[in-house]
Amino acid sequence: MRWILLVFILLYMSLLVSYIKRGGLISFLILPFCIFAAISIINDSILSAVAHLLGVGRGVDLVLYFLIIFLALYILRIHKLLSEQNDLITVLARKISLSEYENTK
Amino acid sequence: MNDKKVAVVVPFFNESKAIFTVIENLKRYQVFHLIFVDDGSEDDSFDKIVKTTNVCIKHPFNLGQGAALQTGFDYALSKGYEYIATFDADGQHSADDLWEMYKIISTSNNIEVLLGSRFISGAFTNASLVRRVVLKLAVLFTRLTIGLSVTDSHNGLRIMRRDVVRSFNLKQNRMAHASEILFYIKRNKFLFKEYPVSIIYTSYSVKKGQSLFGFFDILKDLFLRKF
Repeated sequence: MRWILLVFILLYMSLLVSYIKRGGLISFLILPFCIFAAISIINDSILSAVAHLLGVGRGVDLVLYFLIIFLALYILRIHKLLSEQNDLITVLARKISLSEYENTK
Repeated sequence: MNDKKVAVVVPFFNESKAIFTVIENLKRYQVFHLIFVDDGSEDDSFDKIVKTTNVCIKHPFNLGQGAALQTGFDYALSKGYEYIATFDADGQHSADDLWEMYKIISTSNNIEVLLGSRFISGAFTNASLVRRVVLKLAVLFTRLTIGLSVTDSHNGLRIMRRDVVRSFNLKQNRMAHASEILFYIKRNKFLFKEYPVSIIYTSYSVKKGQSLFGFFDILKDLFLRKF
């Protein structure tokens, strides 16, 4: 099971890298969480050690905290993507408006 | 004066009640060529304006004031106007102020943008105390983030030379476009000045205009653009 999870995380990381190449700052912020998740899957004792180091206590609590941060960043990224789509729609709608005006004059 | 000098871009959304007063005021000055941009109105304001001799471009749906301004700018640039002004459609602005601003910018060699301000000596506004505080916060925010020393960052009355407008590519569809315009002015080091204008809030314009909570929407829009 853990190897399947690892494959999914690695696939997702490759997706993030392609976004980062295109200047995706949010993807860049998400990437360390994925790296940490991958390392934790390979060696789960690291999770507890890091949790202890950060004063969180249990590794499972650390996962929960990271998950919340990850989800917040992910929502921000979706928001950004929607905003980019909206920009394209705006450009298109404005061009249609101008060309319709010129044609109906 | 050249009869094709000033394009006055007036974006509007559902303004059938106030728009004719705005037209009457602006039409007193023949040098002003009015370019209306209907931002997807659902009332009959477009049908009314289209019957007049003014240019009226209609967005297929509501895109936001920033997008409407950019449409007006694109049209004005394509028609070769030398000066381009922006003017709100809810009756808050004075055509006399715009005329004075035009006289200043057209006779000065060291002003490329003239921005209306309601907070400098000679200006008048009946804005409420809460609105004044919010607007001052917006000014502070603009100074901190853009570094442009203005006294009124969200005043829709401005007049610019065509080269200034040509540098704009407004991405902020909604109200944050005012900050974006200042950003372009700062980035391109355009010579700007402020001019005292009167902004009269009526119960209609307060109801129609941006709510005070709009400041937080502007912050959100500007913040998300940073990523």
